[in-house]
Amino acid sequence: MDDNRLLVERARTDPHAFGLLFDRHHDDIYKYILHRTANAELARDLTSETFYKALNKLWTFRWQNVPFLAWLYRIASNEVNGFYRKHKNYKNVPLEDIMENSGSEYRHLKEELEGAKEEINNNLLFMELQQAVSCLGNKYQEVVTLRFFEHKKVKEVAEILNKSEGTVKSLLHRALKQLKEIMEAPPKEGESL
Amino acid sequence: MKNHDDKIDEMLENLSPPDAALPAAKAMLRRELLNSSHFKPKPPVRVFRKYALISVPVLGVFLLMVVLKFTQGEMSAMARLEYLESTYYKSFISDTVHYLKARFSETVKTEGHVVVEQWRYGADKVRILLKYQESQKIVGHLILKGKQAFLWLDEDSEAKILVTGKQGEDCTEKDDNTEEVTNNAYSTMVVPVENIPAGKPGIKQVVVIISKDSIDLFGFATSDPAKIFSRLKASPDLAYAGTDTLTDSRGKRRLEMFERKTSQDLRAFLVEYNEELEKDLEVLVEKLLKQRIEFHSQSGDNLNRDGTDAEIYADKGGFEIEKIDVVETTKVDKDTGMISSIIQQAYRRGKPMAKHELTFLKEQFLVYEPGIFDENRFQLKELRPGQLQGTGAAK
Repeated sequence: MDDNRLLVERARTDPHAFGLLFDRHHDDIYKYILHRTANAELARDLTSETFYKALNKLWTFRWQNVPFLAWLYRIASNEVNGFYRKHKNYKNVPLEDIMENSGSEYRHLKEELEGAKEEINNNLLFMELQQAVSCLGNKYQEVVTLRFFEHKKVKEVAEILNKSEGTVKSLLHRALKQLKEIMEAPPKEGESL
Repeated sequence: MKNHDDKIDEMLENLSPPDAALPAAKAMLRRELLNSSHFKPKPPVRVFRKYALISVPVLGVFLLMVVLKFTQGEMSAMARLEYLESTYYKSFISDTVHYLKARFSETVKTEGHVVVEQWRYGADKVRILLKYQESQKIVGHLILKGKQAFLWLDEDSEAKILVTGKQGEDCTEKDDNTEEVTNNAYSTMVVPVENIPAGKPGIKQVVVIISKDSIDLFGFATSDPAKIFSRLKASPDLAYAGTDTLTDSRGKRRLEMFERKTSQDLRAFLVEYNEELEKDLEVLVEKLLKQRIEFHSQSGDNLNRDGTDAEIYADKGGFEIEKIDVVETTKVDKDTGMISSIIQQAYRRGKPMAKHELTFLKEQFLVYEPGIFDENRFQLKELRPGQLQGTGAAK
């Protein structure tokens, strides 16, 4: 019995119910976006977009053997893909340019972000792999991130991406092949990790 | 860049990506979402000002069209159902025990109707009580708490017919292009045919109704009106069947009716057999459920002798099986959106054969008390994993 069903129905009008859905699924979505982008600040913003879109589109959600979390993952994926489509030359904007309010809450948010950035940058293996993964096409990034960074099973990945398990396996195989080529290629002049 | 060997798979498998959690940002986002305008009812004055900008005649005509469509039956079945569903959810009170009481149409000799009560709290606490309506004698009692199940069943009760629902195993469906594993549970109801044609002494007839989300005891234990709405909305052949009225203790009520007919998820079989074979009926029903086969009704010969396991069993066992039509009608209160009844009516060549009905009598939201789901209080026995399936045979 999928206990999210009743909660999703209630969440359309009951903020308490939506809050419960948020509590259940926020961390999964945030981590997925973080692992796609390797940028805590961007992940925070796109997670926010994901949940606002989910709230506005909740009335359109239909139970058809697809879990609610899979639907959220799809929205999140679309947000990430859409962001990079629009911001091909995206660079990090310094925190100081964004944080206008110097109140204690924002100071706390700033410290939190700094801590998250440090944690990401200290995970060298993740940074190396993520940078290689980010060179792949979107559909390959999705399967690799879900399968290896989110540790989802092939069946779960297929459910989230609305593809067959065979297709997911095929995409993973091709993605890994491309990753190997990327990581074994000699570095371009001036490029470093 | 370092050179990597071919163990990229291993690197990915063993990777521990960073969490980099942002709890304060998360809390802020949560606050913003829950306080967003999506959940705030707009003050009447602001609504008036907003819509005053819209041409009143245009708005009036639009509203009139919506009302006319709803009353004249032009609104689609799905649109009507969704409207009723949203009306239903307006009555919900969060963090309470959802109580339902319903009655089965089948009567038991000297005992009358059987009623079922359900208490549901959150996602993992359900209690089901089955008893005779007149005497209040308990026939079955089930509590589900997470993965635990506790049960008491009166094995000698003739109301066992209502616990004959067998949950089908997970089904794997394949077509040419995709392979999908679906986790659909099918159940059966076995309903006696009351008016057997004269000239057949010692012959019994039952209708076996196989459906997804059955309305037998165990089906009811894992279902509730929210799930019923979801199931109806997912039915590709859902049709609007007009209105009905019902007068009961709650007064005169207007009901909207929705139908779905014989399909992959809903089918019926007429089974005829000598009463001496009663004990073998259950095996046949299990085989029918397992295979969800198609029978081809041909005059003089109802069985394909090169057919499936159930067909072979029926042939050898002396059962005559015929696929017949079934119509399931769900009636919904137009004002409250509450489900009033679900009726499964089987027909053979247009003639009604047997009917199974679940009538919803009461629905409330109660304050939570742990004692409602206390198995020790009711002296129920814990079931082993996998033991939670219908038992018994049709009477």
